[in-house]
Amino acid sequence: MGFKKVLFPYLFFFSMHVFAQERVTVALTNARFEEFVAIIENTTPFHFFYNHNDTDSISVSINVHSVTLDEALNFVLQPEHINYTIYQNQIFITGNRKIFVPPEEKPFDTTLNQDKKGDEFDYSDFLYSNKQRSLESKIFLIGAKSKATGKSVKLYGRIKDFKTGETIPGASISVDGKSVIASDQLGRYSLILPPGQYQLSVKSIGMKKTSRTVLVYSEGSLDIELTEEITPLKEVVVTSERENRVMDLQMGSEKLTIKTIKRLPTTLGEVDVLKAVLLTPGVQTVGEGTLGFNVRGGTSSQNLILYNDAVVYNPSHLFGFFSTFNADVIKSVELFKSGITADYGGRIASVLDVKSIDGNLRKMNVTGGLGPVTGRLTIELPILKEKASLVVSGRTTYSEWLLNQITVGNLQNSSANFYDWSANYSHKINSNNSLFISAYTSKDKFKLRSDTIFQYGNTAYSAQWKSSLNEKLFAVITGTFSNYDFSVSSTFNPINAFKLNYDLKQFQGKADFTYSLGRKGSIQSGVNVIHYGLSPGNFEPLGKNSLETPNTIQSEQGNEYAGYAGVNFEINDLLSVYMGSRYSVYESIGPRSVFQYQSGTPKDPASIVDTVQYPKGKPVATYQGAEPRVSLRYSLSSKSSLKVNYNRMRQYIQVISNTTAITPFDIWKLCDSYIKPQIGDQVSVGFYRQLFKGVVEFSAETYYKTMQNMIDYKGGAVLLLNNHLETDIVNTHGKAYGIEFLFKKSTGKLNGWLSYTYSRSFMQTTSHFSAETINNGNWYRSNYDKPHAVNLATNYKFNRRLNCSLNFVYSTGRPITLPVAQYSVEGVNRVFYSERNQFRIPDYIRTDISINVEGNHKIRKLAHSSWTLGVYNLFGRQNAYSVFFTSQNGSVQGYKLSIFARPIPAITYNFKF
Amino acid sequence: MKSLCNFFVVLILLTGCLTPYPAPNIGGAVGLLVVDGFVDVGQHSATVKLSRSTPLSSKEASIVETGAYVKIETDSIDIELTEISPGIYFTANGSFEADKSFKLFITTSDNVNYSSSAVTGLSSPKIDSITWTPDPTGITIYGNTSDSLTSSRFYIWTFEETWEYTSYLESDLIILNGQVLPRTPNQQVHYCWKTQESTKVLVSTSSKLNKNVISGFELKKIPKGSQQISNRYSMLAKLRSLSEEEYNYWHQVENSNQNLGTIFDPLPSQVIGNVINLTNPKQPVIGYFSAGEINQERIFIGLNQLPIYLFSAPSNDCNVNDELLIPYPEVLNYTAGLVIVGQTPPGGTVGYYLISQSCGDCTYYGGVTTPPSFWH
Repeated sequence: MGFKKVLFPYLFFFSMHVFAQERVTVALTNARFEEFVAIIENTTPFHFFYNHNDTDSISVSINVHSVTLDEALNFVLQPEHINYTIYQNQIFITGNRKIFVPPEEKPFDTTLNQDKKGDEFDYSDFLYSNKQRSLESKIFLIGAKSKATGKSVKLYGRIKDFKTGETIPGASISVDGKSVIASDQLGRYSLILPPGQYQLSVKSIGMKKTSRTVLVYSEGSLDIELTEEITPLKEVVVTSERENRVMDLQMGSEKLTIKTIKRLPTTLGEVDVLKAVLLTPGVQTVGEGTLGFNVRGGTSSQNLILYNDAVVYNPSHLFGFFSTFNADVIKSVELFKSGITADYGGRIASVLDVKSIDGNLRKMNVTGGLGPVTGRLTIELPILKEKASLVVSGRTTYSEWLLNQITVGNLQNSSANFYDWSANYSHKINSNNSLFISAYTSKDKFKLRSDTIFQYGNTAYSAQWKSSLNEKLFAVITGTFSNYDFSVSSTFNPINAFKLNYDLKQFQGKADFTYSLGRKGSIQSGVNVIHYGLSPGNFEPLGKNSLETPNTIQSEQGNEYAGYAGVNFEINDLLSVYMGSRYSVYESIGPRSVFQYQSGTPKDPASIVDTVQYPKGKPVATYQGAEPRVSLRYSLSSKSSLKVNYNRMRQYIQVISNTTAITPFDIWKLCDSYIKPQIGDQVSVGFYRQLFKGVVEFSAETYYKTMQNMIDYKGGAVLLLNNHLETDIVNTHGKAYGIEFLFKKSTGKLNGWLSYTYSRSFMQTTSHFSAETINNGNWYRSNYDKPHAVNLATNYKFNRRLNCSLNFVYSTGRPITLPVAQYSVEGVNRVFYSERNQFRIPDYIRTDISINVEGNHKIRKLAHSSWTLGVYNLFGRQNAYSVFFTSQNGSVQGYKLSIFARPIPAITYNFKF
Repeated sequence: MKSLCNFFVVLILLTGCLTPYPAPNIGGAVGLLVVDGFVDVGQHSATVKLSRSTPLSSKEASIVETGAYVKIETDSIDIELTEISPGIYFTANGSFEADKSFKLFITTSDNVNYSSSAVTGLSSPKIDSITWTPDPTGITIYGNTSDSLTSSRFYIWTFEETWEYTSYLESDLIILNGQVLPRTPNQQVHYCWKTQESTKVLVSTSSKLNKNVISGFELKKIPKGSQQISNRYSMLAKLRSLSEEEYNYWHQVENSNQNLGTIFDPLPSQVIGNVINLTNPKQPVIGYFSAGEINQERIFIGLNQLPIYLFSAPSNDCNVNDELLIPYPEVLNYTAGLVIVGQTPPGGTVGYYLISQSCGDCTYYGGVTTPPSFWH
């Protein structure tokens, strides 16, 4: 058939919309293109016009039922990079020539397709993909041809969510497959390009990848919209989305989208962001039912947990069975184990950055759910369309039944309550400024019998102003307030009735600036001021008959100042670097009285020789130091890269606890005259490679880490209400090293990851007094030294409405101190313990499954619902939480304590309307 | 924080479990010297018990250490102790007085030297009272004491409990020398008395109170239906003042041996007392050498003092039936493990009802058939 170059610029869209809905059914295997044409021509009114030279190399394998003509053509032609155009009943195969669309077209009018609500089905995904495909096959003219000068010009714009209009920060934009840059916190990007034609590819985790072809003449803008990665009904998946950890400069980070997290099997039906983090390589926990996590051999208090930039000190409910973050309002969770940039500071092991959703700017959304333990509700409310949105969310337990099961003895009349709520408001003031305000509170209350009450709670408020000062300079001003408090009161014995309070407040102000160097990189710098106020223990008698004496541990105050600067820069196509440093100063300030100890002896209440009083506002102790951070990425090929990183971090506040697991009643303590800041140094090297054409991503990261000024405890230390805490602790330093292997498949019906980690963590006391040493001053295993860990997290999508997840977790048992001998005194047999952490509890193995069932996708339904059915610890393995020996009735007996020792089934109902 | 632990017991009941765990087969600290030394400044005597630790798998918890040379250094003189029975070294001497300082020296038969730190003989306050309260689950016994503010504010409690109980069925007859005879009062096996020592470490302190008062310190809980409160119960409570150092030692022993098994356990650790190995200082020594005075107080709790809701008929399988009716003289062969609890009515064939010792002989449960001297 003959063929002539045809352009139908004004009719193009019209034809797309009229005929794209024509349905075809085609089943062919390794067929010639002519056979494909014959089927289409026989079943539709369409006729093909093409050149044999363009199509004779095509081998057609297709099996589709009732898809649009457009879909079928895309499926066949797109992999071959062959373009086509439909005009009336004619299909023109245009070979490698693309269709030219003039700039007068308004391609971003997203409302165009959204008003078609008369349809029974929710076509929005489908329409998006249709639209996207048409957008992807166009060429966008940037700027006016007449203004072209030949010099490099700027292309800028925003990356947005197609459905909600929310901007997407951190999306990566590549130009012709190279030079990855990320969108900033307002979802904006900007590129400096010489005039010419480019292919922009945009991707972000959990979103579908898209691309745009641009023809750049002079400065201009282009907004790009992405949609969630959901397979639309009856759509043939042609392209796949891959995150690009190979090209990215960042290493040692794990980013989990809430979608991934929601598919994971849960404990008692609660979607839990922190439990999901535990499935990633390099993250350990001392046991079930505790949310403290250990990153690369660090303690659980060495993790900076941020919720919208405000620090959260103890994000656990029910003493640690659930995390306090309501998954319905979480947008993303990112854990940095290394490669921590200079803008983060304050903890030496990791940063866990939890971000909430901004809220839907286009329509009101209500989401919620009911599980075996809690109920939750979230409302997203656009206040000003496309400009301002409010999100209010709450969750509370109806777990009373849990305790009502108990009818034995003194646990009657006990109750456990918890709730958390959050609210945030985002407002786009104009294209250069936006405001974000977030408030978050969690509270737990446990009543034992009716005379003893335990309470604890977190508060985190933040307000953030993001502003583009000019085209290159971007500023973020943030203020945060965090609070953690707990109290215990008991009236069980009127003579000993008491109330104990603990309270920690943190005020923070910071300013962060980013200066864009175009596609080559950017410079970041900023300042940060924190004020801490701690009331470490206030013990008072309760009631008239109480003989308890009030005991108030003197308050602690401290200021932390930090400034940083860093630059990430692409030296050439192969090499990218990040260099930065933070400098932090901490001062402990008065009023405070400090015990002076006799020099040359171990610190002991008996060796106190003097007390020095520091008046209000006067510095008691000052610590300061630089925290350099360097990262480097070298591309070994287009599919593999090598990354190297060095981090130094300083930490001025730490948890004082001598229990195995972190408890809500552990106290956070500021550095003072005797407790020095912790300093962590980490060197890590990583190798990244895409396997199987990029379907599977492989990474191997190894690290070596040292930690200074850590704290361990003398046997039998008293930590609560202790006025001279320094006498009960010993100074230690630590070292940790390991290697983490990760295979990750993000696309296809089967996705998930498999990781293996080998890691070690050791500590050593540094005092030369034998009273202040552990294990004779030799290196000993830390409480969370678990050398081998295997994590498997998989999800299989049977179809759009049904998917199934399977987790498998293995790790070496944690170290424990075991009795090694028995002895008898006064006829009572007792045990004598080994040196610290000389033994291990049995290995930990757990398998979980869950099935997620989505309701149908009719748009007219009152509510879109989904069900999650899961079984935690499917095989009911009795994993040891701890092993302990106890003398009972005069003889020694060993016990293994297991938590969740049987399969725990749960069912959760989720809805959205 | 004890009540916090209880909460976790609840969660574990729902989802978790506690299973026995065999001791790891390890050598390690086996054969360490265990010192249990006490200078009684009230009785002016000193007792030092020496033994060696054993592996956890061993049936014997300790092996006595014989043939050691043991002496106590006082402010003025050195006093040698003599081994009065294997591993027990004893002496009585007027120099063992309150407020004096004592130090222990040991040379074991393998020629290794040990010494303790110096300890002061503390006098102890009298026990103000031993009280008890009933509730539907049983009874709880408390200790109360008080002392001057200048005295030690740390205490250790021990007790010796004795209780009277009966067999479920009474045996009036005994098979003796090929005859069935009525039991004499000395041969009765219906009433028994059993005595045992406390096994828990019970330490208390008034250091956080504005008075040196210990009020309602729980010594013992006896559950409803226990044999201990089936007839009459007595407790001899003993109280001794401690130095803060010794209190900390016992507190750690308690933490490492008793208060375990919750999610938030403190880490157990090696508990080292005040005795060191002079020959090899790196080798730990178990135990504590202390000096002080023991004051005691006895209470009785009779069945008539208990509220009615604590009376419980003991559950048992002790039914007399015809299967256990053995004719005479065949019955004379049944002497092991069985006792006679009845006989056929006069006139017919002579036969006796037998029953197992657990039903008819109270000594089966470890008691003795004569009351202790204080029982009146």
